[in-house]
Amino acid sequence: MTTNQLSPALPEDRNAHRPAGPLMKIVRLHFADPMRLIGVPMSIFATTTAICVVIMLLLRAFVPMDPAELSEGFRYNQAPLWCFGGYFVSVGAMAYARTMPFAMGMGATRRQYWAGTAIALLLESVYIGVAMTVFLAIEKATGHWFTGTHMFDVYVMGNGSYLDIFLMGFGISMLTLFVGTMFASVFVRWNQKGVLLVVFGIIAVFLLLAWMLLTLGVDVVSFFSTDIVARVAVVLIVLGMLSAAGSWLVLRRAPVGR
Amino acid sequence: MMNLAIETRSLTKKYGNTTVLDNLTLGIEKNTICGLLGRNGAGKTTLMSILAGQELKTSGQARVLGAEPFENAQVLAGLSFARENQKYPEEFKVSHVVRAAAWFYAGWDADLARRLVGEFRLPLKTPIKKLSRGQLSAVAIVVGLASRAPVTFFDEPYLGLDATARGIFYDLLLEDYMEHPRTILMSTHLIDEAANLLEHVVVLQDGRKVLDSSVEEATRSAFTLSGTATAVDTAVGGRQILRSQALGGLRSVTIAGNPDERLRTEAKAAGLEVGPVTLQELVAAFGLLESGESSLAAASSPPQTQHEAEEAIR
Amino acid sequence: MDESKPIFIQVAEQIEGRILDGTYPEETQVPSTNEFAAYMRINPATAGKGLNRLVDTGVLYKRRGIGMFVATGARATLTATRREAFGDQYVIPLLHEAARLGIDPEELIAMIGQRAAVAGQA
Repeated sequence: MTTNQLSPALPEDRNAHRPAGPLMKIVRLHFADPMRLIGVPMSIFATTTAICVVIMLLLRAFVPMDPAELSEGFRYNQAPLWCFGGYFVSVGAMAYARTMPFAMGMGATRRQYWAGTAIALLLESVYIGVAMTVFLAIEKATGHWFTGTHMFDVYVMGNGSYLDIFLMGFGISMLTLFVGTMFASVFVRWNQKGVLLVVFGIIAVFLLLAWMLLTLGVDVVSFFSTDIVARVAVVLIVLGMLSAAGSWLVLRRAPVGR
Repeated sequence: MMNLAIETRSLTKKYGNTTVLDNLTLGIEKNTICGLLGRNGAGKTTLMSILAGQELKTSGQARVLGAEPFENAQVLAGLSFARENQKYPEEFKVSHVVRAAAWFYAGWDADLARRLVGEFRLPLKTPIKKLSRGQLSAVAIVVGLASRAPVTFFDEPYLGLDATARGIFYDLLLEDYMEHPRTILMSTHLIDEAANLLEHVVVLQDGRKVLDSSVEEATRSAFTLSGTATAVDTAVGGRQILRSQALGGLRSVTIAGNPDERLRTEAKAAGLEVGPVTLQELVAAFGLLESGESSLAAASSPPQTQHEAEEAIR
Repeated sequence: MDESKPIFIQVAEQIEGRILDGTYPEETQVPSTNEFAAYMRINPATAGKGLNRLVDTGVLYKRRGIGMFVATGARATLTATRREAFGDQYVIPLLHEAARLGIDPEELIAMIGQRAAVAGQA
């Protein structure tokens, strides 16, 4: 359109006014506020690492133990596993509760919104996976943050394996983000009642699955005995994919914007 | 029928047992500014959200630019709809909204957007959730106008805006509409101040269409009769009274239909005054109708015919 | 302006008024439909209808691709029409109100003469 060529956008972004493709507009929408998906996760990692370092320094000052032993003990640190999951569930939920009505008011379809959001959240998961991998490298290079504090080089994240920590970072992000989208889409369509039913449904499915695995004598323990972290990550990714698919099924005919 | 931007046939929407839109059939001509009027709860927002593909219809047909809007990427790409209580992404600032909207519209005019932001004195760096009611309305107006969407819905766009800001909105709406004609459907309760902007009006009452005509036809579809109560009652005869007011022995009634010559002569003889109604008075009078009462919709001619007539005059 | 009249008639009457007072002389261009619409804050279709009414009565004429112009003789025609309507529009209501207040025609004529003299001096 001629108007686009003639008119510069708002001062801070000269390219901003170019219309994006049907999926790209949604992807860009999610990253329009760089704090939410880029800044906040980094600040969560920075804060959590800082807290761990402070705890380490306190332990060193007040606990009569060998610093090397303390450092080894920190390999059991689970902070990277839990620190950002809650935030990501809320990010996933907000994507449907608030961002979707906005996008649809501007003429996006449900299909476009779901697919664009899935791409954005997958990119986000890659970003977290890469970030954690980089942090692991920095941690190793700095002698565990100059204090022997294990934050990323920990058992739950693959004990220093770059592939494992990437897969775990990716898997946790994907699962939490898409679980957030799924619950929000259920809420959008069926309100709290629906969310409750889905929660009970999921519990029931897991119980059924556990019962089936036990009665069928599937050897779950040996499946996880080798490459446990990578295999757990794969399970997280599969569950994330199921949540994404679930969001679509729920959303396909959901009213939006009310 | 190709020149209709919006068309519904027997469109019905039910929430459980409540019927929100009841067998609604209407047509809105392309490139007109159309008012969607009626009381709160008449079904205005629901109609807009079905047309915008957001809400699902229960039965009937809805067409926007010739096609069913639900999940229709092509139709929706040319559509803009900001709800009166529009939701925005968490933590978004005004600048984020304006920047993101540009990605959604082929016709987005960034200059116009910037001008509107300036005219409404919108603070770009303020989070949406900290805006006042009026500023929220202004954001919706900026997106709605700068999008240049072929089909634009404004849902009570003036809420919280002061008289100056509303004037700015009406002026810029007209100015941009004349430069870039498009179909604009606007719901409003401030009928007196918006009436002159409109070419066509649709009035809903309890989910049903009670009026669908040009503004001029609409104001001619009823009239007032005032004078002494007894004389008024005699003159009214069997006509449908929309609204009635009494003051001592005097009476003023709003009557559906056109005052014919016979009535005018009778009224003159009886010392009664026959007067026109404003659109606002007419819509307010419709709002008093009990559901199920007859309306003027059936009496008024179908929209295409009127538009053809107006087309011919142009 | 009479608020009870349809807007397009108000538009037409406003233009007629300006032709009569010489704002728009004969054979000059009048503002466009859009300019009238923006000025009066009304729908351009309504403004167009007002202008077209004047084209139909021969007060204005169209020049393709340029705009609308005041026809030669428009002022005379309008004056004649308005003179014709003057009695009904102004004199009858005046007499009506005068009768209600008990002002008889002679008194009324005297009042008019007096005012006219004052207006003439000013």
